[in-house]
Amino acid sequence: MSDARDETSAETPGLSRRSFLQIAAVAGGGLAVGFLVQGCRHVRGTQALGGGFSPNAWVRITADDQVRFFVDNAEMGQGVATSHVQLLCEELEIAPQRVLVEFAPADLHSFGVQLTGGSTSTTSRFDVVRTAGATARELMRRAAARRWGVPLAEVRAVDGALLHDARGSLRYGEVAEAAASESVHLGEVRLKEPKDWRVIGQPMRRIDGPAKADGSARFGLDVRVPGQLTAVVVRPPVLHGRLVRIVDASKARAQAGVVDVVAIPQGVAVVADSYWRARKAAALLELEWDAGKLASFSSSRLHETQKVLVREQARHVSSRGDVDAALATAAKRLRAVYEVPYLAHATMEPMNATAHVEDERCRVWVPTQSPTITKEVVARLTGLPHDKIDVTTTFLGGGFGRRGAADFVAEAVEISKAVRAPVQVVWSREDDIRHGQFRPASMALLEGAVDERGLPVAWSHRLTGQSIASAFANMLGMVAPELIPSSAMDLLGGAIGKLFVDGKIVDPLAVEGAGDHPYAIASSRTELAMMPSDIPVFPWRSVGHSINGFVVESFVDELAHLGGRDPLELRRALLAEHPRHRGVLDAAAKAIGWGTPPPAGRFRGIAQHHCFGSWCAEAVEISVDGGLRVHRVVCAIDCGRAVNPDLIAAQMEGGVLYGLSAALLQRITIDKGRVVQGNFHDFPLVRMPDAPQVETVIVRSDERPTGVGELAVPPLAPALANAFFAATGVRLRRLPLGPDVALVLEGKTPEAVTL
Amino acid sequence: MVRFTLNGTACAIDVEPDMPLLWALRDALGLTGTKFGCGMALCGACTVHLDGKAVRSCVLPVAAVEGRAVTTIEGLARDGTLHPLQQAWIDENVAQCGYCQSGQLMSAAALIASSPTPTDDQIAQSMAGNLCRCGTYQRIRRAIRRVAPAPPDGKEEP
Ligand code: FES
Ligand code: FES
Repeated sequence: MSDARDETSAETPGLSRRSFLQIAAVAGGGLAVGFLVQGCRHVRGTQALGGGFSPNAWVRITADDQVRFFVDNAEMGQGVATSHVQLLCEELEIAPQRVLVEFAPADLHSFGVQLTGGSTSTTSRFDVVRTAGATARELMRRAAARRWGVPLAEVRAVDGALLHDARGSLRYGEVAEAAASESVHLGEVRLKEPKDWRVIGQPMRRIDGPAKADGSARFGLDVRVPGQLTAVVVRPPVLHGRLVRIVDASKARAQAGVVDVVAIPQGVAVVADSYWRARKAAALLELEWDAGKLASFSSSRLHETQKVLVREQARHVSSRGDVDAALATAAKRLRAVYEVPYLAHATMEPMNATAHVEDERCRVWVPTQSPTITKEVVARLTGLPHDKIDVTTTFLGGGFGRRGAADFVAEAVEISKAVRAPVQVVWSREDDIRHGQFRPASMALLEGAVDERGLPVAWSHRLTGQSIASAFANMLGMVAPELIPSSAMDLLGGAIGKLFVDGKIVDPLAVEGAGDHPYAIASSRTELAMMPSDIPVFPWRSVGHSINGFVVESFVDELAHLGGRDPLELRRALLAEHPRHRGVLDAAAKAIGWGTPPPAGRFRGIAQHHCFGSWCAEAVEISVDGGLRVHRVVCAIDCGRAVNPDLIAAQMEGGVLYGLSAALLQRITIDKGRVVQGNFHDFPLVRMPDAPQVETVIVRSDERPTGVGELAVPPLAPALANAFFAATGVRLRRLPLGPDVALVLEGKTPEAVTL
Repeated sequence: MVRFTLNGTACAIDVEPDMPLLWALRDALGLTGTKFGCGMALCGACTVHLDGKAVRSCVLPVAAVEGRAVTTIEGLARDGTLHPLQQAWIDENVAQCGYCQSGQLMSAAALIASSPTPTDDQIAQSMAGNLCRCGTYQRIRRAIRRVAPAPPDGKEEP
């Protein structure tokens, strides 16, 4: 590609002030449209990216009539490759089947910080991708009009071709090169009115469906590079432990196929010509570890620490009214302690990365949610400038937040550096679960009160949190120096993380979904006690909402029963000012038949939660004879305009199951610094016989699209606990519910947490 | 040397006999469609057919397939035509991340080969060994139903 031009700096909706439209000719003839993301030109360290022009684009059309679209978000199952193709094709006027989709390389300049998470993919790319498509279309219309010598208004773009009533048609490939020397102002690029959409809003089939049905989809573990070796890493058995020395590696080294044994900061890597040989040899290593600071840390101690924190150390987050007075004078009051465990992401594809470090360059192939962070990690470990580093994102066998981290990338780079060959580091399932970056455990003390009419008048929520934001801030600080002024950078580089940990700044990810609960209760407050802990934590599908959604929506239900009110009716009464909350609640309630008697032996529960810009309510129907069985889950979502309703339904189905496995079955516990669980027998997932039917209702909306992927997780656990209360009269406040459910159904009383 | 039939073709590999078939396929034979999920016969991601039956290749020593017929996801389509289940998977938008789906398809294909009209319960029980972290179970059930109708006298749950 050559001859790039910054076409305009005009602002367009959804494109940041830093985005500049870029039109370029493709070498060999063709058109590329991209947006140059410019920072405040603060370059430091390894971040030097060279000139202003970067060859990566969103869409490329070549003379052979190929249309290439570069998806900059990670495809981890949420269907982003499909929905973004829909956005592009709507404006580009071409059938989605005609477009070749590739995953964009890591490129801060072309795509900005590439981070797939927070259910932001569609929201953040809604305008950019459509504008890229529309710009390409407009340039090609102009080129065709010029070639034909006809007025622009007479040229139409239809189905991959330019049409003129008298002149006939030209394929996109025939005008692509000429289009690269046309110009258009962003202001002249009109996006279609929603009423004219033909692709957006349709339940288009996934473009990755065929590759995922014939085994050809290439995940991280499927990367095969000539000369590639496989590494397994023996990690310290105690989290944060350290290697003292390799006592004996001779047996491992002597095994067939073993190439090397190398110590890296994360542990000891055995490098071989295949996974099995590396794994078997690794079992023969004799290593001496220093257990480190977590050697005496166990979940039972954590539990006691949390109690003290919740009782004594909570700091103010937000409040209104006089909560203590309201609690003291109300007709009825209630106090309850909730508890949730650490959780692993357990993506189906274990963590892995492939790296080839050479003198002058480094290539990495990795299933990652954060290619730009990955690239910076590689730069720091190799000392290479960014333009000598290629990061190729593969399909992700699940992400859920875990693949936003880059620990596995660092390992691959370290090992490749040591053995001077391409290396794929493969985590076992045990590595994956034991060396996860967990959803934090949390405890919460809830107090509430209702008046004579049964309406809540006081609400107090004290919770312990472990800082997810600090882990994240440190990581972002690494990647974004170009986009952030240096003073802020230094803060991000570590100091902010510490402020979160110390509780000096309220960690937004710890209190999200708690401090901002929507219910109209005159006196309400939220307090947070930060829990200093060295257990690694990280965003886990729906992050803080996965914790606080359970607590808030369970306790609202408790207050409804305390006041003798129907849980749905009470929520509606307290949400008079929140039509979209009510909208999803009503939709879920209607679909499950709330207010009508359930089938014999079945019981219902409901919950709602607002997060990632969207609204979601779930209603469940369960039975409890011979064990808890979830029969139906209705999931109502309001996420603005639905770009692909079937993908949304799939995300609701998946989110419900993800939430259900956590609600019933999963916990990570620590014993003397070691993660107890290791595989799917002790960190189970719901299996098909126990999977309920999920019915999705998409509430119609003309608003801009908002988050989807994480929405269905938070309401599931509380809806289930609420249904269990309806069935048994027993309130369960501890996740996972499974063990306590079993006790209750045996006629026993689970031990309550008291402070 | 272990000799067996792989996706209809004779095949011989020289690896240690205790190497699980999964790693022989992926590392020695370059067939990466069969996936590694747990290594302990807990997740089903590695499911292949051994003489037509679904087995977990992560715990099956390659020596055990000597003289037998192995089919992997790469061999499920025949003569360029997708297996009807593969088409049903595409039509129902089953896959999300897709990582478990090779194994799901192999389990489902073995099921309908032996029970062309399975009950709902049979489907659930035969697929119980295949985990999906993305939660695609109800679409899998639907896709199987596209290809394999319920038994005429089968008692179906509502
Ligand atoms: S990898 Fe074989 S069953 Fe999980
Ligand atoms: S589709 Fe992702 S694990 Fe099944």
